[in-house]
Amino acid sequence: MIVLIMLLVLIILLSINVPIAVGLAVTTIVAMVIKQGPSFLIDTGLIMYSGAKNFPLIAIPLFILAGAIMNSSGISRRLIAFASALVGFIKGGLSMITIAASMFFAEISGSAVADVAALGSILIPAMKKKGYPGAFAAAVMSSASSLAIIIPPSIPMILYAVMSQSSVVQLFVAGIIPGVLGGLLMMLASYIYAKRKNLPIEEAFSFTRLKKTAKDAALAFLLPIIILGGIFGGFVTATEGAGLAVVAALIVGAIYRELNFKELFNATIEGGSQTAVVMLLVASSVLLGEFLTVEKVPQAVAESILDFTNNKYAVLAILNVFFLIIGFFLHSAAAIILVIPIVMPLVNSVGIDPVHFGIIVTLNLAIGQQTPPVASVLVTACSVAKADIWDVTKVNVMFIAVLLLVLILVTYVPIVPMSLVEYFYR
Amino acid sequence: MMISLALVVVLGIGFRWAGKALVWYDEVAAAQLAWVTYYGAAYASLKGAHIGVPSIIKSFPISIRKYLFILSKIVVYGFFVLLTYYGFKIMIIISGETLTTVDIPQPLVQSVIPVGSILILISETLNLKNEYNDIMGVSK
Repeated sequence: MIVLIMLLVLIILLSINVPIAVGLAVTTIVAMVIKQGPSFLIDTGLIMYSGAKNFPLIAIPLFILAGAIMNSSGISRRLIAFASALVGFIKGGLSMITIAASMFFAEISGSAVADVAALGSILIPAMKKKGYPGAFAAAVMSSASSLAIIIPPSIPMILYAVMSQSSVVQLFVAGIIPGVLGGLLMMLASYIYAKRKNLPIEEAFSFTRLKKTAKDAALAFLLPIIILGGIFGGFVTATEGAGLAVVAALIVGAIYRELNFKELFNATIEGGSQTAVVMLLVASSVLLGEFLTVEKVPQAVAESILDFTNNKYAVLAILNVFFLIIGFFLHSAAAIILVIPIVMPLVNSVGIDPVHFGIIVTLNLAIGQQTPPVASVLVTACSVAKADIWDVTKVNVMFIAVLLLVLILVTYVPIVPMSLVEYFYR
Repeated sequence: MMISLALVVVLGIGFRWAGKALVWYDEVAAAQLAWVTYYGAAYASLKGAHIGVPSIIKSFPISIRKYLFILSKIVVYGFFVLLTYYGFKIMIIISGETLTTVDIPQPLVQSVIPVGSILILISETLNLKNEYNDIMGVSK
């Protein structure tokens, strides 16, 4: 009963635009004070502190910082040049370049919004100049950027790993195949679109140019190899890998001599703010966790669904639909923090591998980033392209369909994400 | 703060590779994350960057919107005032303690809760007018 009232209060608070972190904390505090008396209030201060000092989550600000350094050091420009030499000869080349560059970029940065901001500000104007419809330009950029949270490193995956107590490294490994597959399918979709609309090619294929741009961008490629190699090889933890990423990005930036310190400073402050927004949510979710444990809510949820079905695939279907609906309204970090602690007992009890489930969740959230009204990545892309969200969404439907296809594949053919994990770790 | 956090983590890896693991590295880095969280949150308040759901309130009629806005702000202020009060109380309770691995006073580390909360309250106040205009649909 108290849970339902709490949920109702939370929904009311959220609908009047109280920040989710605050709404969550306040409802929990009220419920706990009613249950346990005012002595819980002093715990609040302690929990809000200890919730924020979570060691594995240090990777989040570090990956954001590494991405910021990369953006202000000329790496994105070099990646685009290389992608252009690689796939620019195909019809609708610029959209291919966008997808390819996003995939490379995803190897380094962990956040999709960062990708849109970094690559979109160069590529979207370029596409519009070549006569691509603005809505299409924004749609390609937006969807391709969501690959960033599927291809490692990925901030939502780090959050998921902490919330579900599974291995970040295995999640990272599991994301590789679905991410690359998604990228290739998106390229196919945009090729079909380009063929129909007769969009121009960029440049004739030239092996010398490919070699030259590859050499220019070589250091940029070295970066993910060092970072991911270090993490996958077990030399460093994910958090330390993130620290390594910062140093590596600084060194590469210094070698390229294109580091723009003013930009870097602003990006760092922005990164600090992004981290804080997520971490405040994490801290208040720890508060909520206390309540959930006392009330045994996750167990109740698990039982009520298990009464209905205990078929693994049916449960996965229910969870998928649930996450897709949540994705319309919630930011990806918020969705993980709110939902994962509640559904995890259910996931474990029907025997779904937590790593497999993590990839499913991440894909759902990637789709959520593309579906308005709450769609952080799409909104950023639209504002760069100065295009209307609904116009963009009409075009974006084909890319969302691609992501859905990958989601279904990943859900029901577990070998797709899990083969590398099985090979390396089990 | 972000940069010093990165520095500590890098030092931590460096020393571990050199065979002399720094015992304080985890604890200090984790505490730094808490600092980034609350001081960063104050900055996010200033920019109105906290994750919320602004679309629903905008669909209410203008006349009610004003009261809903006031209500939402009462909740936000109430929470951070509470956090400030209990944050200070905890600082008094734990006075004299230090971190386990290094000689930094625990109250200083945890001061981030009350001090950060006060900064958030100030930032919220500075940003109040902007946010009100945004909710009421007044263009800047």
